[in-house]
Amino acid sequence: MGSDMTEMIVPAYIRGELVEGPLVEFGGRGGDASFLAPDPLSFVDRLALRSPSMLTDLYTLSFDDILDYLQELGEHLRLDRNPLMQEALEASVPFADLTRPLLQSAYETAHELFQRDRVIEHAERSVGIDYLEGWVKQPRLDGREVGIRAFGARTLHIIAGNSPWMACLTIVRCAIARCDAIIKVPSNDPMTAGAIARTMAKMAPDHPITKHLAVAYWKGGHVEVEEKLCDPNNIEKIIAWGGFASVKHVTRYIQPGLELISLDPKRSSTVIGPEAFESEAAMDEAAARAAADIGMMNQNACSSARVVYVLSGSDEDGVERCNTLGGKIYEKMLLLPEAVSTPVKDFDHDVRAHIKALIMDDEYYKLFGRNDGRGAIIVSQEKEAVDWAPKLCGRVANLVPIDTVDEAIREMNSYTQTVGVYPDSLKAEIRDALAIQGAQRIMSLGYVITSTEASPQDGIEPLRRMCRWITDDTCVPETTPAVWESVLAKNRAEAAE
Amino acid sequence: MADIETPTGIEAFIHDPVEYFDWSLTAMHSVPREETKRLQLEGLKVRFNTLKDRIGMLQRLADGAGIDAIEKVEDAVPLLFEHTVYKSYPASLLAQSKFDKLTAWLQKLTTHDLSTVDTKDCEGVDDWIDRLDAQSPLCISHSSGTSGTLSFIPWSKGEMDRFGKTWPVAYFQQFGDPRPADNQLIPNCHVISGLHRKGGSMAYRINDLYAKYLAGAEERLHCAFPGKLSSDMTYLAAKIRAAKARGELDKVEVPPALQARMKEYEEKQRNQASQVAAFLKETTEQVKGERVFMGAVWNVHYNLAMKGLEEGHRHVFASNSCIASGGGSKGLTVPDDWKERVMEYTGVDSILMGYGMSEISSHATMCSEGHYHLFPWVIPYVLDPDTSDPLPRSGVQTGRAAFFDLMADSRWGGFVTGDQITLDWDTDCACGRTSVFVHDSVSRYSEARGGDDKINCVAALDAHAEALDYLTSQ
Repeated sequence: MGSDMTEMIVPAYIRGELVEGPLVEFGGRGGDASFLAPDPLSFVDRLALRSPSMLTDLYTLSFDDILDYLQELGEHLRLDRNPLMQEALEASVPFADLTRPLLQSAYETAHELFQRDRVIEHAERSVGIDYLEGWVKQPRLDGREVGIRAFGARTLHIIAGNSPWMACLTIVRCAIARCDAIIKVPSNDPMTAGAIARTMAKMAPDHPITKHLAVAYWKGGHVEVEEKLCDPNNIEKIIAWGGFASVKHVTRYIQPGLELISLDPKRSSTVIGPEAFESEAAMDEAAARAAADIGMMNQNACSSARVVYVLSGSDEDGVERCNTLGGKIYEKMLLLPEAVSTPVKDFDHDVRAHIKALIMDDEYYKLFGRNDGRGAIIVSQEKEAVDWAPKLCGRVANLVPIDTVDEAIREMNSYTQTVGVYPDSLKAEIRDALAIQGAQRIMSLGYVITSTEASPQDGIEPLRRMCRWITDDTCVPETTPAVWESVLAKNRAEAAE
Repeated sequence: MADIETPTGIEAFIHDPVEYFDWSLTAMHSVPREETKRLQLEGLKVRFNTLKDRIGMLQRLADGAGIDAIEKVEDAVPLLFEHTVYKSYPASLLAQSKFDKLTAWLQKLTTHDLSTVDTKDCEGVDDWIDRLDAQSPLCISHSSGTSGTLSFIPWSKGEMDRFGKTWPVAYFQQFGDPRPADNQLIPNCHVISGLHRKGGSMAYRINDLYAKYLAGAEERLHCAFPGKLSSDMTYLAAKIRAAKARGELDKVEVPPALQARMKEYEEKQRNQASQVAAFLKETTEQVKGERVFMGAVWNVHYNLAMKGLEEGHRHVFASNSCIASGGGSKGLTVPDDWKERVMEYTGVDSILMGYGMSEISSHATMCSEGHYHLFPWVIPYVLDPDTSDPLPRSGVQTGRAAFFDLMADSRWGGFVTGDQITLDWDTDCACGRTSVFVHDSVSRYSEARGGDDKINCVAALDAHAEALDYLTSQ
């Protein structure tokens, strides 16, 4: 790596304070870029909020104040007017999984997550604004009145870095739930969260939301750092993206009082019904939709389509139909706009090696595209996905011709996040079966790039779980049976004697 | 030495390099660099010209890349086989015992005619390998199957035997010494292996070569388990492990015939570590004071030595024994003094470190300067890890290792490894060998890359396997 790259600094940001030293070097193995960041041991003692009572200032804010803050922050984050974000974008290029146009597109649209109506929908659909704002009264059968309120928690976020949106989403979620947030940034997106934090400090240095954010890099698994931090005295919840790789180091700290919310790694699939072969136009449409789901974000998202089950039939004619569809998907993938999909960066060696092997033998798999990083469509000539399907990446998808939809459904499991289905009539037919098998989001084919944060994620509701759900029971003896009344009655009886 | 200017000279060199160099390690490592380059280029041309139309997969690759002649060694880079080639068959062929189709697939990787191999009623991998052994010139070697599938490398019996000849030369001759007398070529030493005597992977196939070219007699070959490690069981165990990791255990069907064997296999596996330890202890006592060859990863040597030293044993073998090792740390923390302890226990004055792989017929052994020297019949390449383009064949280069094994005459010898190496093309090593060398810093790309805290929400197979390992070890 060139010396200019080793000079990149990933400062830590602790509740309004910028920490820039003492610097140590991270990364740089196996040809990866390296960077400098302050020694985590020098600041770990300052990372956590010392006492839960220090969350009080977040309760001086109304939900409307939070909306105002996020809306204003979104405006400040617009790439064209924020030098911190511009700098973060430039610095992220060597580290990111995405190519520059895709990274830029993600940075350009990041502010949308902070928009007022979007945050309202997010909060309302995920938690319910009333519950965030105050005690929501609910009567119970036994006559009591229960007040329920969703309180914030002291949280540690181990975020994924395959898109800068994870950093944005985490900051929005914490503001909505009035959480204190410590974000541990990943080495594939070391800059975004810090740039947002610094923008917040500039925009409203003394605002409680600004004061309740800390962003830092340390190498996941740094025992000394994590032992000090991951303690129920410091944090109540750990939200870990990326599943095992990021979680394995912290599982040892999980104990009563310290909860783990794990957003496991996922894969996604596609099911294309026989309707796709009813006309040339239908086939073009299905192909374009599938191409979008495969190509978007250069297949770097967990929602990216990888194995595509095609109800073309698996006899000779069926396979031929599937081949035709495969060719069309490949052609259309190359036509996706640059902000959505590009030739890939760092095309995985293993996948490249597998494609090279397919070039050498087309008996079982037909290949559209080559090993040039522009992507490829592999069409299985029998009813069987390539056995390395879990590795599919770099805009490489595998079409599998099948005869019955059950053959697709049984391939889903708890690792399956999104299943894009064409057409919608087929989706309605199979959604229960897909869900029972393990799939977590069933979607019209061609729309995975358009996501909403106001829905459950991966089969759970992370924002709800980030909250501490507190109840306040009001009971009166007139309506709720009370044991203490019998004591008094006894007293009265004794006094009377 | 034969005349290298004539085609017969080149052919002699690539056909049986040990004979060509008259079994002399000193001769092998004393070829002037320019001569080596010439030998290698000419040898590569012969291999390409004779194999191109006879190995189906090579032909397709060459046609696709528009390569019809080799002018310089770099021309072969697009033709180097990736490890994926050796497992490019659909997994169902193996899972459903379609050995006729598997044989047809294998045919595309070898010049040997497999059309007469009878796969009818073939019951499993063991059966299939036995039939190939009996009915064809092949002697295939398969991988350990950690990914849930097996790679098959179509070594021929002839290739395997010629490879065998390299062992006494590489491990029992000293550079600079004259060629040993004919009756000294084979060390006739005791060979100790903590594995099964037979099996379908190179680690087991090699026992036949040990018996012939190191031990000189079967009774001097000591294996921990006299029988054969079943390839079916290895495969099934790997498949189950991979299926567990994928959350697809419900999809693995274990044929009833194998279920009982599976149980037995698992039982054996459970007791294996203690049995191997007992075997090693017993065998070292049995061959005390004798000349011994023992090759193993560091911790096997170390554990044996520590135990032996604890019991008061020192210098248990003859000093002209060979204790060889390689294969990296295996994810363990290596004590600084492991070699000293092993030397103290065994009585040898150095541990011979080797770098090799089951795809090629060479093992580079380490010289006194700490360099792995390559034999001249193995053409090294250092590739850009991202693009797989060749890095310059000069200076010191770090990148992905690839090799062309000129000795392979019925399969294609070009192979891309998963290793990151640093290769010195120009420096004359102080040890006196003229051959180019690899620094002692070999690492696996799978470990080196992406290991630095890149977090991604995309599920990869390895992550699941690792998760499972972790969870079950808690």
